[in-house]
Amino acid sequence: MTDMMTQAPAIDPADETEEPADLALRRALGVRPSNYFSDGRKGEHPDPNPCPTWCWVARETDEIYGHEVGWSNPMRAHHHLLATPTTVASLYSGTWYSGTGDRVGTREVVTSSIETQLEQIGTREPMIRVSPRHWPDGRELKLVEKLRLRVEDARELITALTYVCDVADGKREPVGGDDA
Amino acid sequence: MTTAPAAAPYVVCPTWCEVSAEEHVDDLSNWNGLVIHHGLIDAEFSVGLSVTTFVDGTVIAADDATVWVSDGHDGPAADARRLAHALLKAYELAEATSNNRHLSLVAN
Repeated sequence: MTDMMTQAPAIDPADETEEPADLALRRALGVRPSNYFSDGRKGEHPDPNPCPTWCWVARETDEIYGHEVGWSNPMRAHHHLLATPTTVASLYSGTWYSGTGDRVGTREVVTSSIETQLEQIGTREPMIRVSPRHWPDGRELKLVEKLRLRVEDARELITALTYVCDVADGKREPVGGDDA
Repeated sequence: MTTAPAAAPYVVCPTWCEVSAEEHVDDLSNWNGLVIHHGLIDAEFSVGLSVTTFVDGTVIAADDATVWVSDGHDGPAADARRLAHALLKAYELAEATSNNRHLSLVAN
């Protein structure tokens, strides 16, 4: 995978999170801070490695949003696609919900579906996660048996999987985001 | 007066069906005379195919076929591509079966 963008060196957030004496000592020793703001401001993530080309942070042209600092693996950025292909699982019930924002007053239906996500933790190998989303009684459930698909569902899942594989392998540019 | 036992019907299966002739015949009464074919198409991802037909192998409806796959997947792109190929194989077999191809006579 060719890296398109290098994240700016992590901005040291310690001025706002450390006591002056601790800050002075840490800087004298040349070690990294152990406190970070969790919100994703661009350039503030402690992971110094560049984003993969398909990562939403690499593709956003604004200088505001970056990776959040996650508590479970704070020193590694969690890269993922901005737009995730989601395909219909038509043999399962969906659910309805009330529209929000501009769609207040409307009633919308969401089908059960399959999300195909491309993710990468730090510089590890990109991983593709296929996750069924099932909504019996309006509650999201993980399927406990085999996922059953109508033929057209399977065809669309193949399309989604192929797209995500091609993006991961650098054979295709991701669709969506600033340059969509 | 004695009557000869009725001959078991011939059941026409798709080539990928793994259900035995005896099982199909035994199940006819459970499924109102219809036949449900099952086959494992790819063992790595547990991708399989199910299609319901009449005894002569004619599909009930073109969109009746069901592709099944193990629930969820998490792995590198190479694995996901193999999963896509396994699903594609099942999809193509489902399409072919709906067009009454891949049939063979298996039971009597």
